Amino acid sequence: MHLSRLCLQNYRNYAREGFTPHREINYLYGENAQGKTNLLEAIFLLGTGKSPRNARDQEMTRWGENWFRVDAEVRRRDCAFRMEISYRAGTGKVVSINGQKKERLFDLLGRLNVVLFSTEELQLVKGGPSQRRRFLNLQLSQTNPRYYYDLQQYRRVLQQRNMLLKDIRSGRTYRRDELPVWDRQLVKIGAGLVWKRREIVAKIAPLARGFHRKISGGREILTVEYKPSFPGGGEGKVQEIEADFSRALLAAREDELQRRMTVIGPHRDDLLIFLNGKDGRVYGSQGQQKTAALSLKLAETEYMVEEVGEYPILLLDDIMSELDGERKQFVLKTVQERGQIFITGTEEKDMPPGAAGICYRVNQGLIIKV
Amino acid sequence: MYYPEPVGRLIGELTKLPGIGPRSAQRLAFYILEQPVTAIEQLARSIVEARQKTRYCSTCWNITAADPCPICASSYRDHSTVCVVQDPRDLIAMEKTREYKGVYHVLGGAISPMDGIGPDDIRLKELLARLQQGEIKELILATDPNVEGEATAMYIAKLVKPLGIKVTRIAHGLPVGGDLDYVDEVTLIKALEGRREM
Repeated sequence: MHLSRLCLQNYRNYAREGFTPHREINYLYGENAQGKTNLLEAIFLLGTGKSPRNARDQEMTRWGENWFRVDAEVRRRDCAFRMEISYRAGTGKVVSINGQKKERLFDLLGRLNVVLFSTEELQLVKGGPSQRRRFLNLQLSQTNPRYYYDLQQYRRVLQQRNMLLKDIRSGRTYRRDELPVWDRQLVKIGAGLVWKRREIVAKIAPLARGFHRKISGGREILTVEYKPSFPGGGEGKVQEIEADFSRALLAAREDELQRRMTVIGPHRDDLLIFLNGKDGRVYGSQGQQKTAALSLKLAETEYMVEEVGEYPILLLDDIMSELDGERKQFVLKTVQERGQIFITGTEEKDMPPGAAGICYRVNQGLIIKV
Repeated sequence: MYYPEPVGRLIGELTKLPGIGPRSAQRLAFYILEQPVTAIEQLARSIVEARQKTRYCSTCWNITAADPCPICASSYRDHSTVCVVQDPRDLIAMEKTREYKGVYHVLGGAISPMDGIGPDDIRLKELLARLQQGEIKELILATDPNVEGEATAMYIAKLVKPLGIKVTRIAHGLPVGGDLDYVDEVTLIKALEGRREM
């Protein structure tokens, strides 16, 4: 799939700018704070409905304005369509496809698949569990709209349940008999999330292992495992996960009341990453951690290809300065000539050599073809 | 202020209404100012009367002018089947189907700890009192299909099951009259989960 047209209005530092991206490489260079990352953020927003930097909508709006619009023409193997995401202060974000307004934001999921490689994303191994959960959530949401819906429901149940735990603890209510109705929903929806995450990890782990082996010259074995926050976590069916989750929840009851929050569930799970059998987070060097993160991102890309049958759009934000020569070459060799790629850099000469593509200079919210 | 004092006060009152922001309030206020006094007196009277002449039905807690409400008073309705809804608007939606012949119970909300609403804050005691009279055989739970509505339905089901009354939950599924390929995936999956044998 690729974007055949992209327009930004009142988006970040762009007043009104549109361009026709190349089917393969789009190399964007320029000084800092000119709008390179903002452009990649806009494409990510079209794919996922949110900013990779978790920016609020108003932050994405051009200074002094109260609305923005990002719209694109998307070509997929079997169809072509226009998609648009717009925001207006007070009304929020709205999605439309081929000019038809959609009722819900998540109607945009699954139409444009994106994978982002950035400095933050390369912190995947080194960073906290929430970053690794987000890694899984984003992939699953893009390939499975039901997952996204369930995730929203789960978060809502979690908020309600935590509030109830606080109320019980502080004596505002003595109604512990209300807990089971939240427990049941937490378990039912939560077990479904765990099950789908396990499934995706099982698919991604061997892919990531393969990439890591190649990058490390066969010296390192990368192992990735899903780690539920409760014992068992059901290796098998979703019903087993439900049973394990439910049992653990009951056992944690007093602890939960003490701490006034839900202490187990998919919102507390993690992804374990081992290098040659040792915990990569603790024992890995910076370089090893980065290689493992890179391998996971490449695995994510391949997973998308398998799920949707097409190469996703790759967003490589400033990672060329992040990686050494060898790893840079490896990434380019792996992804080049397979799909559309947007790469940012600071120097014109860093345009990947020998690639079919266009070089653009980004300057103060303007995109100039070089 | 920019407005004469009575106009400012009117705009202030209108802004308190749900869904009315300062701009809509201003538009409504200026519309009112342009109307003949008699038309506006009629509007004002309607508002006051609607409020003064209605109350809750002491049986089903629907909004009504006469207690018991016409539905509860009707001998044509099946008083052994009760449909539980969150608010009077849901009841009206059900009535529009012209299909449902039972009676209702309006809870006046759903359980939601974040809004400080517990089982004691919705009309559950009243529902239990009705059930204990023994005439009711089936309870249809038609609370909203979100986590609060689901929690409320589960809570009621747990409470009522021991009484030996049949408890059912309305299905979530496909809108009728549409094409299958226009339905979003989530609705379709929900409908698939709630499939029935033919």
